[in-house]
Amino acid sequence: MAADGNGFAPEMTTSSRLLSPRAVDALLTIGTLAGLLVLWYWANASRAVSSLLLPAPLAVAEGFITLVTSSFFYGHLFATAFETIVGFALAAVAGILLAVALSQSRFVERIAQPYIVVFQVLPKVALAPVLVIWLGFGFESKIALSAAIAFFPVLVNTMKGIEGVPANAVRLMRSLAASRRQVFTMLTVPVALPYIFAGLRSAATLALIGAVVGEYVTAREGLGKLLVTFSANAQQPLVWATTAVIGALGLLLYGIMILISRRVVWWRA
Amino acid sequence: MVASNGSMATQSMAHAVKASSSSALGAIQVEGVGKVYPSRRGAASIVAVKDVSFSVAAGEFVSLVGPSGCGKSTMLMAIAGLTQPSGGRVVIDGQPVTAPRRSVGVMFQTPELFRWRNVLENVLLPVDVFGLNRAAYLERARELLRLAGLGAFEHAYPQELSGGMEQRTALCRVLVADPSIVLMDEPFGALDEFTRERLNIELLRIWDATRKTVVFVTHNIGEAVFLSDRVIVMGTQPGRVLEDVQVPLPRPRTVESMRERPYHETLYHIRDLLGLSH
Ligand SMILES: Nc1ncnc2c1ncn2[C@@H]1O[C@H](COP(=O)(O)OP(=O)(O)O)[C@@H](O)[C@H]1O
Ligand SMILES: [Mg+2]
Repeated sequence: MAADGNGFAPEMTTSSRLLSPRAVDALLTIGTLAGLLVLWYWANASRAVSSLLLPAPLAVAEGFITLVTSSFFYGHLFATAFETIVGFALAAVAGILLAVALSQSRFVERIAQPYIVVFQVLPKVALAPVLVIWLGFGFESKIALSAAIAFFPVLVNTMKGIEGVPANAVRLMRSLAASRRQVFTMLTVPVALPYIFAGLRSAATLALIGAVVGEYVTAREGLGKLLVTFSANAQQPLVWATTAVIGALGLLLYGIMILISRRVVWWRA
Repeated sequence: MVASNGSMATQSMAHAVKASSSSALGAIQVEGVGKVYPSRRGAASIVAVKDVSFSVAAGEFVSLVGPSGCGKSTMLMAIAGLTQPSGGRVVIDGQPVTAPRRSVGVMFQTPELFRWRNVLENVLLPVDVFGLNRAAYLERARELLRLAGLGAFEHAYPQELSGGMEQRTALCRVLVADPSIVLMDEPFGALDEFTRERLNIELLRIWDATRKTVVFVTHNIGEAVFLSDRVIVMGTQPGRVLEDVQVPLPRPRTVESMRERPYHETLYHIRDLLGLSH
């Protein structure tokens, strides 16, 4: 035992020298994932957990294959992706534009501030039934919910970014007789961009949540609608497979946002 | 290293600048300037400076010296057109100052470099703001960077620079579009003593080559005497001019100038004016 312990530590240091820290991280992630799968498999095989609560890994994998080879799946996937992307785009444009508009006048911003706080705190999912009444059962109500949820992080972060412009830097620009427009494009935008992207990153995942929750409430299509249907039919492996697809979609959106943000605001890295 | 290539760079700099700037511009008249900051929440309004008058000839190097809060920055901002005096006026080359103008460059205590621009791009900021052609100023920007000992750093980003290098970059930036007047508000105040002295010597070298009008704000009396043709000594409560002191030190000045008698006499004269014990 003691000999093992002694031999173990130096081995670790050599291996961490051989592998980059990133590779070590990746190995750790894959390792824990494999561990969890084994645990999951064992839990089902030993009947420690009922397959109603948690279907076996192989059953979920089968469900996944059934799902992605079915003719109906891609229509639902496309519907959710479409609602999410349009909701996200609306939230991004509206959030950034409103923040810029508010920053033009201290007075207007002071008037708007309490409303922003109230709407931000309000759980937007509570709007879902109202949005259905207003906009119908189609994708419009889902897009609206998606945009409503994704909007605030963009607005709040953009406002924070614009406020974060150092007064001394503005004074430098003014000393160069820069116009308001020049101060905005040459200083405010670059200072605010990292904040804006932080907002957009949260918005991307929130937009997906908005779309899926909207589909729960009432929908003709979408992954949320699929979940509700599978759940009602007690098709547990398909419920889990659909959840996994939604999770993967969320990760994909988040990953894309990170990639874009690294490109655009590289100086933050 | 800086000293060895300094004189050569200075000469080429002198050529570049003689060609570009007409010598008569850059005269400043400060006429009875006062500045009152309005009261906030019941507090009494602050008289920052009261009835300050002095003039600076084109090509002259003048320092404003005084204790913290005597209104040095306020005066500089009034000359820059960044703040409007409550009374009196500032006249530059015969025209009253109402707003910032391109011919007046300002250097602040903090460099305010933009993180998303590299050193060269930061230096070219005034060129961009003025809507001038970058290509036409590229050579001059590189020349200034070489002169400031930053020739190898034009592609570096501000995050990679030391405080001294950042202020050198800011110095190149203020000079790039060839202003006739340069206003400096404690530009080296945040740097350590060694870096500050080096930069002062470099500043003098660049000034010798360019002969711009410089108004230099500092609370360091030695620095003011070493650099300036004249030192305007200011007192506080309210901010006002105590005396306009001529510095009888020959130019060009070197570190050795600080050993000379006129340097010390002027220094102690100013200390006396400010009520500092020896
Ligand atoms: N924006 C401002 N609002 C109110 N008071 C100010 C402002 N700027 C400067 N003051 C006051 O004016 C006086 C002179 O300030 P300043 O010009 O910064 O002095 P110095 O640069 O010599 O330290 C100080 O008493 C300061 O508190
Ligand atoms: Mg000051």
